[in-house]
Amino acid sequence: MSASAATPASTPAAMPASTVGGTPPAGSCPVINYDIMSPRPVLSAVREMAELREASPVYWNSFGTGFWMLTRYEECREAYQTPEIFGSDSVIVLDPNPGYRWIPTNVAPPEHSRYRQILNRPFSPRTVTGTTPRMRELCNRTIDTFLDRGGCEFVADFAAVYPTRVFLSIMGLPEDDDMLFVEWVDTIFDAFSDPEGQARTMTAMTAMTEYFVSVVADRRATLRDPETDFVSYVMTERYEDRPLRDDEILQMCVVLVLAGLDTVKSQLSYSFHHLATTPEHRRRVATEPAVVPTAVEEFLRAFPIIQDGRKVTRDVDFHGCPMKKGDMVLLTLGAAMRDPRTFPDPERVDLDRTANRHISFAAGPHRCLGSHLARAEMAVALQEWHRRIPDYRLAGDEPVVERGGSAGLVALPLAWERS
Amino acid sequence: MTAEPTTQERFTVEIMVDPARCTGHGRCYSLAPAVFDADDDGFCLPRGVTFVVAADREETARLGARSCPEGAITVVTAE
Repeated sequence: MSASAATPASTPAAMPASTVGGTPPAGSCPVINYDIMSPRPVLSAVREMAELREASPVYWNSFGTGFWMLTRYEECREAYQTPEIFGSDSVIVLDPNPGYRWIPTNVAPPEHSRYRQILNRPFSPRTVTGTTPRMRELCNRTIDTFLDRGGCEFVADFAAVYPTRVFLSIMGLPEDDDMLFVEWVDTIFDAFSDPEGQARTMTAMTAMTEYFVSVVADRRATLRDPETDFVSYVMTERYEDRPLRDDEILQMCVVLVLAGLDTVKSQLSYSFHHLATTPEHRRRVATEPAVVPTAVEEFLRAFPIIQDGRKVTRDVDFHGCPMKKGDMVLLTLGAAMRDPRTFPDPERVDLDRTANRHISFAAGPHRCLGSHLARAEMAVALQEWHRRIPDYRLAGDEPVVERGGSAGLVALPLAWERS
Repeated sequence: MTAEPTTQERFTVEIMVDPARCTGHGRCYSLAPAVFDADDDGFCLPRGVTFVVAADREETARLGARSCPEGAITVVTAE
């Protein structure tokens, strides 16, 4: 794909009610067919998206069922901050009419903010700070499993396991269930780059949902301490003047898994790929733990995991592009977080970058609920890993491959000298 | 020629956090805790009112404002 292949389209005479699946009424917008799904060599997507960003702020992409693409920071932020037009009925551009309604992901204001008032507390910075010692312990126990081997497959051995253990701890679920969740999440997200995997995804989703059905039933029978058990906490909270229903609690649990595990895994994978291939940054993180908070923000900016979708709620002209009610819009954060109009020297990963106002956790009312938790998980991982494994390298000759869809690395073999 | 008063003597800094825009990213109080605080849910405090800090905290306040992903923070240097 090259951005230079993008050509302006003529406006068709008859406009369909929604552009999805139809002819693009692209107006002044370039039309492209850009594959957002296929696996490719690591960091290909941000390079391809940067070309697109510099050629145009908005595209019609005819890939899949078709969707608009916003490529620059200000336009993405504007869409995030205008939820009455850029709605969340679907947040996956290739799935405009999902058969589910996740809470709070697919819920619009003002209902959305009532759910968030319940959910914000267990994911607040203060709550997260309280769980950091436990996070550190779980991180170190994960490192223990491979430290003496002198190497690991980082994605499977560390990045998939450690956030899952933190999640189970925060939820008050048994830590022995970690591999159940690792496998469910792997299966579900593999389908992002493998359309043949749909059936396996459904099986995993069903198994995970059944798991939470029994957790909810169990807590209904015997409430546990709301301070340490998430489901018990939400059961004691109120939506306006009523308690939450079981189906609402179930939706919340499923969303926490889908939003919170693969994302941290992928963010850790890109960050450690960068560090494994950038010796001076690796040395700094290992010898100067004070740099970790800004390094975390910079990794979030430079390697955004989510390419977010929104669904247009009414016909609107957006920066010269005639968007129709029902159209899907991709907020192409991989391009927008490297927008030179917002970030000086954006292609440079700068561990000291100040005033880093990235929106890799989205913006507007749907700002990532788990953002404070994710930051803390990242910081703990960087500190503890480098305290114990300060120097390491890419192992093996296989090129590192990234997924399409939701960005992430397929595998990241690392090696180090055994002490 | 009389000496100009120092910046610190002449100015205070007025800050306003737009409550409609703040969504609790937490960048301001993480980077500028001397100026911004957090409520129990992780949203910025104070918000929705103009508050004043000493001029020697202007740079800190501006760092907080520049780091806000929502563009929710306005910093005005007042005479």
